[in-house]
Formats: sequence, structure tokens, C-alpha cells
Amino acid sequence: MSAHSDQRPTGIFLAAAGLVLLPYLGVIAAFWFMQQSAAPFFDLQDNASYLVLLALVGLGLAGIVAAAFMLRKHLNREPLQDPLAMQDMNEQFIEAGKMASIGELAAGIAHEINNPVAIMVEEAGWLDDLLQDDPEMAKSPNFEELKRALTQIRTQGARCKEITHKMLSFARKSDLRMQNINVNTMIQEVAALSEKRARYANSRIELALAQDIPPITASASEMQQIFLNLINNAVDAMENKGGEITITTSKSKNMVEIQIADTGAGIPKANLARIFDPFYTTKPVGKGTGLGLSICYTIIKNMGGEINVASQVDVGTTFTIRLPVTEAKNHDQKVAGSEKHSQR
Amino acid sequence: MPVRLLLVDDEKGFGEILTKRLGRRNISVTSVLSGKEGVRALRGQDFDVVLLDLKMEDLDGIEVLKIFKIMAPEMPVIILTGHGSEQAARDGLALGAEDYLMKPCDLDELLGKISSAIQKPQGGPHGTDQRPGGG
Repeated sequence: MSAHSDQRPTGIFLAAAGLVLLPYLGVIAAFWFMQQSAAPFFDLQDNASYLVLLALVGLGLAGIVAAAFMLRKHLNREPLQDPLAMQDMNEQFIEAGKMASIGELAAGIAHEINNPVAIMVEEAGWLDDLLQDDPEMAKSPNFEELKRALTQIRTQGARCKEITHKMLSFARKSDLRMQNINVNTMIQEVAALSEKRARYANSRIELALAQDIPPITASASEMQQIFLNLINNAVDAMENKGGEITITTSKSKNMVEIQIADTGAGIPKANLARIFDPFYTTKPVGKGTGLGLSICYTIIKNMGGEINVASQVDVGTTFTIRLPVTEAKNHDQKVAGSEKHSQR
Repeated sequence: MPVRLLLVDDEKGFGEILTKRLGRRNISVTSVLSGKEGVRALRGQDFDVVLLDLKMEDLDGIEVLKIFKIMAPEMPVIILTGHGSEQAARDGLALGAEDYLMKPCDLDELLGKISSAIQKPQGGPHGTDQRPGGG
């Protein structure tokens, strides 16, 4: 933004100066020329002076046209760029606000669910205590079935706990602090969150995570945003016929490579070059802002990584992300990189 | 002599069932449903250990913890909360709480924490070996 506001007055100033100075210089030069030559002003016999005069007037006219053109260009372009930049920033603020609201909601839900689940689990434990103590109960033909049911209640209670804890870990307020992140763990968390949505769209999420993935230095909430965006896009791409999303991780040289592949509709070649452009979307109105991939691209580039896409219509799309591995000396260091990110 | 435990939690159902289960394990539970009741209970008698919820209607658990630490600085307090914020539980540790657990928790884990908080194995909770698998 500051670059724009610096450039704009300079451009206008140059254009205005050109508009005034060039014809003025042309006229001055013409008078000077007339004074120097003793010949009359419209002496057509003096071809040389006539041509020089014509050239000077032509130059003045060209100056006026060029200056007017420059002025018009500056005045037209700047007001168009500013609202776009503002809209981009607004969208990001709205997104951040949404994430914060989801965080508060998730924390509230987790609390409301954890208490009843805790009671449920304890009641099941109490029944188990009673069964253990009563020798007559052990003789009952239903004893084993009762034990199984109680174990099932406790198992499902533990599952609820796992869900609320995942919600909470996802809902942590947007934190741009850079930290060491295990990509595999994060993908597992995000995949678990997206599983239900994928199932509704008749899709499955398969994970093929390599075991020896070193940590990367990144903001946890930004990484979540990237994976959620790409998985949601993959689910959208398979909305009509269902399919499979395969998330693969591997290590190549000093980079961690993550591939998110779907078997969806694919992206036509004409659209492929534009998919990382801000506000470019092929989704129906109201379904996509056209910012998801653009934000992913910016985050990844700022981390020194890269994102590529390969796609074939009716076969599917694969996004490949490469992110630099945390350098050994930085492993225990919390890198303060929020300043760089907050400028986006 | 059983361990005397004060449970401060506004979830009535949770207090009732935990009283029964811990009672079987030689822990005598006094269950109260609010921070104010907890303070009143501590005025009336001594306790070996406290289980304290953080999010309660009348008096926030952290405030209750501060009062308990003034009334009985040596009495260990274990935070047991269903509230999402693990940070709040950690704040409790900074204010002198012995330990914290997030609900729903495993009974054996809770018994372990109670046992190490009161640091007297001879009079501590027992009976966990009766029922492997815990809560």
C-alpha cells in the first residue's frame, strides 16, 4: 500500500510537468529560431527553417498528447487498484475473524460435551465396579454381554474425548508464531476433521505418510489453513461422483514433500495457469471467494517453499507442496517470524 | 483412615458418581456444587486433597484456588476441568495447584494424581488393583 501512495503523486507530478513544460519549451524554441533567422515567419522558400519550425510544433503537440495520456493512465489505474487491495485485506480479516469465532465456539462445545461424557464414563465405571463385586452377577448368562456393553461405553467416551481435544487443538486462536511442526501429525488432525465432510460427498481420505519426516518451521494455524483449503477443494472437485483423496508425505533432499491428490473432475488446461490468482474461482457464486489457493500460495512462498499443480480433466488433480526442513540448529528455537507474515 | 477429599464441581451428576467410585477406594468425598460452598466446607473441616473445577457459576475456580491457598496453603489442589482451555489449568499450576486433569479422565489416572499429591502412600488411595481398566 505504501508503495502505491509513494508512486502515485510522483507519476502525476511528472505527467503534469510534462503537460506544461513540453509545449512551452516548443513555443520558446520556435520564437528563438525566428529571432535567429532573419527570414519572414511564413517564408515557404526557406525550407529548412519551415521544417525545423514544423518539427518543434509537432514535438510540442506530441508532448501534450503523451502527458495527457500518462495523466489519464495514472488517474484511471490507481483508483482501480486500491479497492482490490482493500478487498483482499478485508477478506483476510473476515477469514481471521471467522477462525476466531470458530475457536470460541469449539471451546464452548468442548466444555459442554466433556462434562456429560465424563459423567457417562464414570457411571459405566461404577456399573463395572458393581459387577466385579457381585459373585452372583458373574454367573448370569448376560454377564459377558454386560461387560462388553460397558467397555463399549467407555471406548466411545474416549472417542468423544479425542474429538473434543482435536476440536480444541484446531480451534487454537490464530497463532502466527513460527514453531517446529510435525507435518504428519497435522495432516492426521486436519484429515480427521475433514473426514465427515468427505464422507457426505461420498469420498474417502487415504493417508500415506512416511515415517521419517523431519519437522518444518511454520505457523501451526497457517499450515492448518493450507491443508484444510486443499482438502476442501479436493472434496468439492469430487462432489458429483465421489472418489478418493490421497495425502502422501515424503522427504526429498532438504524439503518435505506433501501431495494431495484427488480423483475428481480435474481442472481444464485454460484454467490451470490462473488457479493461484486472487479472486479467481470456478465455484458457484457464494461458494468460493477465489482466495483459498492464493492464500496457500502466499504462505508457502513466504516459507521458502513451493506449490505446484498437475491436473487432467476427468482423471483428477494433484497439488504438490515442498517445504524446507527446519535447520538442525533451529530445532529448539521458537523463531519469531510473525512480523513477516503480518505484512501480508 | 480414609483420605478426605473435597470435590468442588457444579456438575451434580459428576460429583455423585465420583463420590461413589472414590468411596469404594477408601477416599471419603465431600462433594460441593459451587466455589462458595467449597470455601464454607473448608472452614468447617480439614481435607487431605481438593479436586477443583475451573468453570463455575458463582466463583471462578481460579478465585477459589487463591482463597484455598490462603486458608490452607499446604493442602494440595488438583484441577479437574472439562473446560477447553488447558492454558487456564496451567495458570492454576502457576497459582499453586498441584496438578491438573482434563475431563473426561481415566479413574486410575486420577487416583495416581491424588496419591502423589498427598504423598503418603500408606494412607493413600488403594483398590486400583481390584479393577484393572479403571474408569
